[in-house]
Formats: sequence, structure tokens, C-alpha cells
Amino acid sequence: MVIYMPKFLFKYALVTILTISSYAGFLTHDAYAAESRGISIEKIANTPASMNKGIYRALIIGNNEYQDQQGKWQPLSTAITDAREVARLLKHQYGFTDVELLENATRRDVLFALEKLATRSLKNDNVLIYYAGHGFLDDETNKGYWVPVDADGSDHTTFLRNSTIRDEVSSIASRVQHTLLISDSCFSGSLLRTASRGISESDYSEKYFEKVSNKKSVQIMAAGGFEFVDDDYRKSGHSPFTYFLINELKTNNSPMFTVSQLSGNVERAVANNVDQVPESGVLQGAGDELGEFIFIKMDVTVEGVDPDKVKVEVDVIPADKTNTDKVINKTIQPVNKPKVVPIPTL
Amino acid sequence: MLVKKLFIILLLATFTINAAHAEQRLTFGAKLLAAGWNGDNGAGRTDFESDEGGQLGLNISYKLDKFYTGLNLQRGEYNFKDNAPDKLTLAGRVPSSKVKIQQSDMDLLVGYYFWSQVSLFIDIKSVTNNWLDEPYEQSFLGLGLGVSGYIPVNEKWTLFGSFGFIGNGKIQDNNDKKVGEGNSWALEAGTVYTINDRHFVNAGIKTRNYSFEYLDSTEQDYKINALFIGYNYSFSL
Repeated sequence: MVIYMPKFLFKYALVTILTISSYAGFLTHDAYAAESRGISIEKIANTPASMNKGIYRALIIGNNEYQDQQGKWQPLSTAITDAREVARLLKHQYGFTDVELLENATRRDVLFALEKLATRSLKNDNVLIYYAGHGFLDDETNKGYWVPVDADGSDHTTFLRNSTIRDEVSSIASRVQHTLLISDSCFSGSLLRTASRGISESDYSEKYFEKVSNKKSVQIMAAGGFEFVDDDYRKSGHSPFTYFLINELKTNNSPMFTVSQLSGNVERAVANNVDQVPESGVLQGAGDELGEFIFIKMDVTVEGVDPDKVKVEVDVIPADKTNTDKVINKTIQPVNKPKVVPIPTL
Repeated sequence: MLVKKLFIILLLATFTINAAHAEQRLTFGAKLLAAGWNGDNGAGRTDFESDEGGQLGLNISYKLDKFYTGLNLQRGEYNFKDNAPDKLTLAGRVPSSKVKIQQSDMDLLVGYYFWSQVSLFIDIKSVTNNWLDEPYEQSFLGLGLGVSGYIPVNEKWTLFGSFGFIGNGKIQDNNDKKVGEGNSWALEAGTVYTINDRHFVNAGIKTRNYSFEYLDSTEQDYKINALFIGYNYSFSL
């Protein structure tokens, strides 16, 4: 038996299967062996030929070292660990070829990174943005914020407002096929509106993956709705939400895995173990068409088959060499507005 | 009239600011000036020039979004080894020389950023010159209008500048009697270095020019040129 990844991974995502062993799954084939590394792409039958084709990119943000001199934003202990582990998993198990890890990001760092991500993303790409850090909800206005490490006490202008995040993510979403925002912070649920999608486990057919991969998606997974969320879960070094997110990504054994599946499992696991209810849905006003972000696992196991024989190798051309599409000529001008200019006198 | 209208606009602008969501900052500042005072006592009269004198200024300002208000107090001494500005009394001009004059300034101002980096401000200005060791004091009081602005250079450095004019200020002697009227203008330019979100230092140059016309129709003109360095401590409220 041989395992094949969907054809789209070969053709456009610049991923080539080199060694293919065994897998008794929904992807069947007409036996084609790769003759040389990275270039011998063979015809594969019975795969969802018209599935979305694109590069997997991620921006991962983890904020521990808060610098607030007013003491409102205390340092966190797990956000960086969370971010590093998520980045590692995406790179090594899910074929993300463009992963930028931002640790202890200032407001400007986040905005610049989102801008850069938008600039280098292409039409068929799959973009994941993960944030772990403080969040804030203004009770009076019901507006939510991400809190960067250079946040200054209660000065909201030093935070990242949901509408700003939404604008930046919408800008990315307008260029790519699938966008997923995962926010592990307090009150992160204020970013989303709920939307029902997904089907029962038994209906995850090849046709379903093909259908949702070709519809645009702008999804979000949030650690909490409008409540505070915990930092260190059972001294695991991870927040509860990311602990179960990582666990799901690690233990998943399906070659293809939708966000609806992932979020459902994570939500149940978190809610069953801590006093926190994660939420998922779509990012408001960002062009979601009820598609699905699909994770492709590069390292699956097959019952009854020697793990050494179940091997998928991918040869990836660095994503920065693939950005030949038109680049958005939009740049964020550095925000150098000084906080203080001496008062003028006559 | 123009000043009055602008003052009303500034007040209206202030009341339309939603304080709950606007940035509020309180800033304390200190300024050290190295200045020279020179001028003339009118056509056919003496010129005068001081040694370089120093002034220390302390100020506090409050900023609410685009609106700001502040108070600046400044004091210094100028030593005239030779001729000095004439003393003006109701009885007439009294020549003055070899004196030390202590100058005290007060600015009470309100301003508003009508554009992102440019503001207009109104300054109630008082300058009191006290002839030390002599029982004479002269003050100048006026309402000025100015424009100020800044240009960020990079994350740390910002250029700033201002220009303002006071027309028909009142000049009084030490008996609070009006002895004349005068105009004044000031030009300032400098740079601010941001140490961090709370600490700032600045340096620059400033020139102040005064043209006085006394009740006896004689004139006196002088200017004070200064180099300054300053420090500001600022925080959000």
C-alpha cells in the first residue's frame, strides 16, 4: 500500500512526495514512484484534483515579557512556550513552509509582521495567525483588544484594537484562500461571530474536503469568549487552550483535518477540564464563504503497518522564492508620533 | 477679534472630546537657557548688550487627545556691564547702566492640533523685568497667538518648532501704571530625544523680539537669543 498526499500539494505548493509507502485511506492511486528527489511528479488518480493549491504560512506571536511600568499588565509564563510549540508543530508535522515566530512583540512589531505577511501571501495560500498574550475587554464600549508587551497601563491607544486586527487579517484574507486566526488571550471571543459549519465525522469525504477547500474561509478559534483565561495549565508550561490545541494537532492521525474538527475537539477538551469555554467562528466582515482551513498532516501512522514504511517526505522550495505574484504596494509607515513635544511658549 | 474667535473654537473643540477614550497625558518639564539680551533704546539713544545670562524654566502641561494646556514659569538674570535698557516711568525715561536685571516669564497657554502635526495655541504672556538693587520693575503683559508643530525623524528623534506673535501688549511700571504698548514675537526650534515612554530630553534655539513704544512716543527694541536644553517627564492618566 502506498500513501499519497492530495495532488494540490505537488503542483502548486511546491511540495513533492519522494517516498511513498503504505496507507489504506480514501486516497487511492495508480502506483507511481518518484524517480528522483523533488522533480519526478507522477500522475495520481482519484485525488481531489480541483482542491485548493497553496503554500502554508504562519505568523506566531507569544508575549510573556510585559513592560508596563504601571503594573496593570503582569508578565505571563506560558505564552512564549505556547507559541514555540505551535510553530514547531506546524513546521514539522503540518508542512508549513513559511513560519515567522514573534516573541514579546510590541504593537508595532505585530502590525509590521501582519503587513509583511499580507505582502508575501499569494492567492491560493493558507495563512494561520496565532496569538498568545494578554487580552482586554473595555466593559463600557464592549471593545476587545490584544495587549502587546509595550502596552502602557490603561492607555487603550497602546493596545491593538479588535477592529485593527480585523482590518489587518481582512487584508491578508482578501489575498489568500484560507485564513485562520487563533487567539489565546482573555476575551478573545470578542473578535468573532459564531457561524455553523462542519459536518458529522462520517461525512468527511474526499468530496467534502474538495468543496470546502475551494471556498474562501476566514476562521477564528478563540481561547475564551468574554471571560478571563488561565495561564499555566497543570504546570504543563502551556495555557489550557493551547495545551489542548497542541494535543489535538499532535494526536491527530488524519491526513486532512479541518478547523471545524480541530476547534470542536479543543472546545470540548478545554470545557471538560477547566472553567473556560473556547469559541470558534468566522472573523466578522472578512469575506468568509463557509470554506474550511485544512491542516495536512505530513506524518501519519497506519495501523498494522511498520511506521518505517509509512513515510511521507516533502521537499519544499522556500516560500520567499515563490512569491512571484503581484506584491501589494502598501507599506505601513512607521508610527513615530512622539508622546511628548515641549509646550510652545512666546 | 481673531484671537477671541480662536479661543471659542478651542473651547468648543475641548468639549467635544470624549475624555473616556482619548489619550490623556500629564507632563512636567524643566528647561535651562543660556541667553543674551541686546537691543537699543531708540533712535539716537544708547545700545545695550548683556553678558550671557541663564534662565531656568519649569513647566507643566496636560494633553487630552488633540487639546493641550500648559503653564510655564521661567526666571533668570542678565548682567549689563555697560549700558542697559532705559527705565520708563510716567515722569519719563531714566537711563540705566551697570545693572543686573532679573527677568521672570510666565506663559499660560491652550492649544489644539487642528492638523495631525500642527497646532494653534493662545498664550497669555507676562514678562517682568526687575532692576536688582534698584526700586524699579517693568512688566509686559499680552495675549499671543502661535503655531507649533513637529516632524518625527525616527523612533527616537523628533524636530519641533513654534512661532507666535503678541500684539499691543501692555507695558507697566512698578506702580502698575501703563507706560506704553509693545509687540513681541518668538521663534523656537529644537529636537526631542525619546529615552522611553516617560522620559524625554530636548535641545534647541529660541529668539524673542520685543518692540516697545512708550507714551512719550519714544521706542525701545530688544531681543533675547537663547540656546536651551530641557527634560520632560510624562505619563498617561
